[in-house]
Amino acid sequence: MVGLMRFFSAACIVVLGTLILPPLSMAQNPMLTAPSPSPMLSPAMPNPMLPDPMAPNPMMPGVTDPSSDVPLNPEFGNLPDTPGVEDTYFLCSACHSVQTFAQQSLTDERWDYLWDWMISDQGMPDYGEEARETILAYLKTHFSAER
Amino acid sequence: MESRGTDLEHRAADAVESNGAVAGTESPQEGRRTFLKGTGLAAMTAMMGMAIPFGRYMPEGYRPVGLAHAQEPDMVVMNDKDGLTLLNDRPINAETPAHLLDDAVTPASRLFVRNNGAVPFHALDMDASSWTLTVDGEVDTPLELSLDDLRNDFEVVTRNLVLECGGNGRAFFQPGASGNQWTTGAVGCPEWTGVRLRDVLNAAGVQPSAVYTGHFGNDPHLSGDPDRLPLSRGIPIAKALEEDALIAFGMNGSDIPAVHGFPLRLVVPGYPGSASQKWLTRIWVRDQVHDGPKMGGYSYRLPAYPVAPGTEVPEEDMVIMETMPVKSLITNPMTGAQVAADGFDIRGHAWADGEVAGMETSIDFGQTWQRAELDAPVNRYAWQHFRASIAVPLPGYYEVWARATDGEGRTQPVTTPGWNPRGYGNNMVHRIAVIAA
Repeated sequence: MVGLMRFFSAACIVVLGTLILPPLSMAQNPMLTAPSPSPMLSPAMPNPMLPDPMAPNPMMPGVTDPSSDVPLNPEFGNLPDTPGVEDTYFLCSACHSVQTFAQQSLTDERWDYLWDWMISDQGMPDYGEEARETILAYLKTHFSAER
Repeated sequence: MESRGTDLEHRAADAVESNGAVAGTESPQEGRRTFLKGTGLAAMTAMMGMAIPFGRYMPEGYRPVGLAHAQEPDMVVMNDKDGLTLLNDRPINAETPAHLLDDAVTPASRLFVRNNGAVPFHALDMDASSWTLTVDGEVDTPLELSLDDLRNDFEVVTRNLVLECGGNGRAFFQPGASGNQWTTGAVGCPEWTGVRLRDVLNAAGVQPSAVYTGHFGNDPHLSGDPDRLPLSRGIPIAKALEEDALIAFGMNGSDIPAVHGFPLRLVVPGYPGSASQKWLTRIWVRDQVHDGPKMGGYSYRLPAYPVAPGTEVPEEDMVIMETMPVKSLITNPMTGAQVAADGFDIRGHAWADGEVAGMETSIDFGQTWQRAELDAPVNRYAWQHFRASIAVPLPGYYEVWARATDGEGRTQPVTTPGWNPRGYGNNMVHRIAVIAA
């Protein structure tokens, strides 16, 4: 199941990587962006996205990869414990919980937009270029639609 | 907009010092942690314009009372909820699993929770003393109405009205769209008691120059800045003057619960839930499209033209989302249920901007569809109940799909419809799994 999801994700990356502006010159296959993990694939391979393998939910979307090997750090809201986690946790939690961003799966461009939007529209202080780079790199690593 | 960077550095240094961070006696790691915590604190300090005494002793996530609101205590409102899936605790957002929406009228315990900001203190205290609703702008006579004025001076009506978040279904878009990752549960249909928005606007006397309403509540912004609003949207004046929208002060026969807008809110059926301002203090009748927070940019807007998934659409090409698309939900049985192979029943609700004309189900992934029995709504903009007796050819695993068709002949897509940057408008069919044995 996870392998299949990774294949679909990889295919999406290949497709999205060729996409700049509409209309598209490269072929894009909407059949490769099928969202939900099929409950048909679950019986042989337990899918952690489904709370109970015996209670399949075709609506359960496969937005995040739950089988990642990256350890989570309970000191930092159970965020993936890689460089940038501390800055991200402290600076981003000033206003909202980590769930606000941890539930996302966005393109790099959208993460960039959101950082600027929070400064211009939501009263976030401008923490400067270094913080921006560190935190955006972290978010783009773990909460990305592109990787 | 002026850069706050340098000013913030100074204030951060001051705040860290005055908040007791001791430089030099901590390890580099601890020192950095203290600085970061101080910087976060400094941001809050800068917001408040004063130091936070004893800030270094604050537990993680604690918000000082000096801010507009102490946000963690918000979560007390979830004590009255039954079985909701929490998407976020700050701001609080929670959706209802489909099988818990089986009631004809959604009880408070099962109504989804959507917040852009914090829950106001007055609501947590259920204190409505001196509540005032102001109606001003392009009107003959601005009004200042108390709750008693609303109850006594206008016809009080009770209506079952669907409330649905514009982003309901967002989680299924690929690539992901930014916002709360609602699946199917950001919808409900409680019974609302209040007065017609139209009647109040007509009492003020809407002038020909009126174009749009602007709605205001008193929920605090997450940043703590008392001058910022988390949300202020509005609706076209023509929609506001239809008979359906309510200024509501009751839900299911009681006061509106704290988290759902006590003591007063708008309920504008057929439009995204963000048009239904909670903790309502003012309706500003405007001579232009309202431009409050989350009216502009990408908020509650769709691309003016269809785009491929993942496209960053220029802001100027985004148009305001108005009517919500036709949709339905199977609320019984719960997905994954075991059912009788010689036949079983399903039921649920359907809703649209206007009446739902027909309801169908499929057990073969949409290859063939069977008509379901559909009730008329109890009033305009109430959801409509449907039921079907399902026959399966063999024991085994099935998905039951349900699709509603509105009065214009538009039905639900079987996959996610047009991708858009913020993931609005996903009215794809609902699917449950059953094991017929």
